[in-house]
Order: sequence, then structure tokens, then C-alpha cells
Amino acid sequence: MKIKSIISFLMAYWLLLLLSSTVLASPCPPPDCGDCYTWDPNIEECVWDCVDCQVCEDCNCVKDPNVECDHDTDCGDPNCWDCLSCECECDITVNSVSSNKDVTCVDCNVTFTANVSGSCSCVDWSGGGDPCTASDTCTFTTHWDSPGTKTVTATPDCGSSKQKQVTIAEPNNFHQIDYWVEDDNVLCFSYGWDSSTGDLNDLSDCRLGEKVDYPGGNPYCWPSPWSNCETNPYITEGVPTTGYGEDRHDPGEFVKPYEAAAFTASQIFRYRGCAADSYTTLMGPLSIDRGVFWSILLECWFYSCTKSGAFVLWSLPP
Amino acid sequence: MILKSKWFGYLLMINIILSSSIGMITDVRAQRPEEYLDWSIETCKNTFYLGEPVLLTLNVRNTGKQKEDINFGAGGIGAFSMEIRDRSNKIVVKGNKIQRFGFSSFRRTNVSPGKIAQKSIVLNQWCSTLLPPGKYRVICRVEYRLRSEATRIPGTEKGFKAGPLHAIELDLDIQIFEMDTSKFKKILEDLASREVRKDRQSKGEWLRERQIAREMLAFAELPLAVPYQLHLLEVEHYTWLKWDVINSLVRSETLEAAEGLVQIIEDCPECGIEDVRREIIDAVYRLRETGKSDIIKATGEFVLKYKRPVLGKPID
Repeated sequence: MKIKSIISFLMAYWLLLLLSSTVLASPCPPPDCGDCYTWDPNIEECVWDCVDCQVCEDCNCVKDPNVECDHDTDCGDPNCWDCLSCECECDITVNSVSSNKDVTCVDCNVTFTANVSGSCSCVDWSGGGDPCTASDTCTFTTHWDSPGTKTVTATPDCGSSKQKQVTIAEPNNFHQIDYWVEDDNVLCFSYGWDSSTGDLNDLSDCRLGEKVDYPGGNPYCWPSPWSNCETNPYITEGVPTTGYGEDRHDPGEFVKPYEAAAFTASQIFRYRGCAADSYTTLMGPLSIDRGVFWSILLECWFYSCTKSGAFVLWSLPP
Repeated sequence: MILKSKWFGYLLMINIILSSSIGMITDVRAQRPEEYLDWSIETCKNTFYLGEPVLLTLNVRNTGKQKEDINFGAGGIGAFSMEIRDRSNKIVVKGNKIQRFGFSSFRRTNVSPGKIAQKSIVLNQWCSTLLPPGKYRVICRVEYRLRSEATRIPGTEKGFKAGPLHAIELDLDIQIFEMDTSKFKKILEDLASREVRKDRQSKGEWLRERQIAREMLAFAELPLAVPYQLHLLEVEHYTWLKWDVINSLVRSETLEAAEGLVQIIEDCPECGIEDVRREIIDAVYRLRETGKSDIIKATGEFVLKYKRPVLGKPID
């Protein structure tokens, strides 16, 4: 009887063991791993379901104030992101953007500076000038080749961006006002112009002037009977903040005997900003025609100079 | 009878009004500029160190009835000529009219009735103040025209015959002191500091003050001004003023000027000196003509590299 009982106990035990192994091997629901753990079927293990710096509290993952999170796995660039409280927090703030100039001329550099709390390596710039963008810097220098209001934006890797506007000015509406002849046979013209912004003071970084090309090499010596030579091309510039300028055409110097002669110079009025060789023509080319001729009717030599329909005629001293 | 006397009264009134109007017109036309433009010249101080730039302020008060546009000739300065006389009235320095041909931009001098127009010019542009210490009299002659006196050329829209030249002569006393290097330096530093806009200064006011300061630095006549003048070559926009600066640097006859000019040509491609590049190269040659061995030595390589340019006389 005693042996019989032992045998039946063992059979029941083996039966139970068999039953339990059958259940585990079958595709049954995963086991309950406990709070904040989940079953990973790939490795067939219960794994921690929170991030490294969290703890399980009341069945939930909550941040552990005593543990730092891992930048590399949890957040982005450690210069831009902070995770001290086990949460990715933006560690860069662009407080404001300033510029070294509020107004300038085309092609003149403007330097923008971002006032930031955090690392400058987290700031990107855009603005459409040349260069158009910049990365990872607190300063950005650019220029524009057209007038208008330009907006430059400093954008941090995280957080909100800030903008700064600057005005790019250029001279426009260049026009002849009038002309006159002075006693010494100088043909004079007056010209005026405006600023694209409406304020001539905004043109202080621009340069406005003339270029006169003579028909020959440098220097160009005017043909006989003139005796003067001129730098060719003849270039002068000035500041256009005056909105006014005068152009004077001198008869030159003569040596006797007089003889018939003529030449034409070509003049343009132009402006530029800060780029040395990037000019915009405002007026021209205008022909400046000078001549010396004999009048059969009046039997004397004359000097003439014409430009834009205006002229001076001077009876040369015998 | 009453009606008749009323009509007579009206006619009398009209007659009086018309007569006085015609009188006013005649009065305006008959007035000569000397009668309604009051001229004076002043400086902000009377004592100067030798070689110090002397800023003259010309005041024109319009006591007439119409706005006047005063034409001061080429570049706005062609109307002026200067003299400096000593105590015995002997001319010690004379500066003739400055001729500028071609195009130049400048501010027009307009003066409304009852108002005063001011124009600033630097005496040293005409006359050197490198004079023995003492008292002097500056004579400033102005030959100006008025736009209101110009007459339209018949058959043209924009053509005028210039009005007549009017001449006035103004004078003021100045005293020249011995050089005081530290004070002269301070004066130059003060002028250079006007490159920076002051708080609450309007942009227009700043730009005008800056330009006057630049002109004063350009015509300062002592070697102490050389570094400021070299800097001006890089920042100034007026070609004519840059030519003046180059001439001042040549007159300084210093090694510092020669080295500075060489450096601008060789190391400053973005200085914006294309309009005066030839003049700068020529200036290095002119400085070598002083025969100073240090200048010749320092510019030896430069002249091998840069041929002396042939410069014409600007006429346009």
C-alpha cells in the first residue's frame, strides 16, 4: 500500500511536470514581467521599459532626479541639449540679434551678432545675401546686391529663432537738372538723384561718380591744337549723400597755330557699393564732343563742346 | 454822390495796393546781392599751432525777400581764394582759386529769407599755416554767382546763361603758436574720433561733422598726421579729397608715409583705392625724389615692381 502510494505520487508529479512544460513551449501570452518591465521575445527576457535614468514608481517610469540622462542616446548635440533632469531640454537660447549697421549700400558687408545663452555652435543663420547661410557661429557677415529691406534669421538647433532687419540702399532717379555756360567757356551741368530709401543719408556707404573714356591710350593727349593730356579713363567718385553734383567741361589749353581738330569722349555716371569693381550705370554713355574749326563766314577759329544737346561755342583769341 | 465817393475810395485803394506791389517788385529786382546777403567768416578759436588745420565757417544771412541758391563754383569751393598777411600787412602765403573739372558731388548752399546758411572750408587747402609764431590776418575772397540771376537760354528747357560773378572780401585774425606735440596729437585724435557716431547724434549731422573732420585731417601739415591720412585713403570716398591726402603725404617727406603707401598698394586689395591707384604709385616715386636714403631703401623693391604711371591733368 505504501509503495502504491509512492508510485501514484510520482506519476502525478511527472504528469504535472509534463503539463507545465507543454504550456511553456506553446505560443501563449508573454509572462508578466512586473512593473516597468516588458517581455522581449527576441531575447526571451523581461527588459527594463524606462530610459536609463528613470525609476519605477507606482508602476510608472518616472525620472530619477539623481541620475543624468545620456546625451548620445537620449538627446542630440550635448552643446545644444541638456538632460540634467533626465529630460531633453534645450540648452541654447537666442536672446537677440544685432547688426553693426542698420543701413548700408549694396555689396557692403553687414555683420550680425547673436546674443545667446549657450554655445555658439548651436546657431545657424539664413538671410538670402551672399553668403546666404552660415552654421555654428554667433556672428554672420553677409552682403546683398540689390536694395530693399533684408531679414536675417538666427536659428538655434533647438528653441526659437530671432530676426534682424537691415536696409540696403542705392542711388536712383539720377537726372540732369540744368546746364549753363560760364564766362570762361566752361560748359556746366547739374545733376540730382535720390535714395531708394527716401533718405539721402542712407547712401553714405555708396560711391557715385563718373568714368570718361577717351579715344586712345593712357594718358590721352588731346589732338593739336590742344596741348593737354588726360588720364584715360578718367575716374572720380564721391559720396552721394548730397543728392546733387555738377559736371564741368573745360575748353582745355591751346597752342597756336590753330588747326581743325575734333574728338569724342564717352561718359557714364555710375555708382557702386563696397565691391571695388561692381558698378551700376545710372546715366550714359553720353558723348562729349569737342572740336576746333575755322568759320569761313566769320573768318576766325572756334572751339565747340557739346553734350546732351547743350553746347558752348567760343571764338578763340587770334 | 455817396456812391461816387465809394467808387473813388475803391479805386484809390486798388491804386495804392498796385503801386506798393510794383514798388516791392522793383525793390526786389533793383536790390544787389551785396545789399541783402550779409557775409561773415569765423573760426571756433583764434589761436592755432603751426600746421594745424584751420576750419573757417562762412555765414551768409539773407535779409532779402527770396530764397537764394549760391553757387560757389567747381566742387563748391572754386569760388574761394585766400591770403595770409602778417602784422605789417605783407602777404606771407597766397592760395589761388582751386580748379576742379569733371564731376563732383557737393551740398548746394541755399538760404531762405531771414535765415543764415553756413559753409565750412579748411584754410590749409589754400594756405599753409606752417608759419613763424605770431599774429596774422586771413583774407578770404569769394567770387560767387546766384542761381536767381541766371537767364534762360531761349529755345531750351534746361539751358541757362550763368549770372554775373559777385565778389566779396572777408577777413579775420588768427594767432599761430609754436608746436606743442602732445596738444597737436590730442587735436588729431579728437578729429579722428568723429569717425564714430555719438549717442543721440542724427545721422545727417554725424556725416557732415565726419566729413569736415576728414578734410581737416587731410590738410593737417605735420608728420604726426601721417597715420591718420593713410587711414583716410582707405575709408574716404571722395576722389578729390584722396588726391589731396596723397599730396599731404608726399609733402610730409616721411618714411612712414612711403611705407604706408606701399602697403596700401600691396596689401589692401579691398581698400577701394582704384580711383587713385595710379596717383598712389606716383606718390611713392615723388617721395623718393626727396633723396632721403631711408625712403629710397624702403621703396626699392616697390619701384622695381610698379612702373611710374604717366598722369594727365584732369579736365574732363
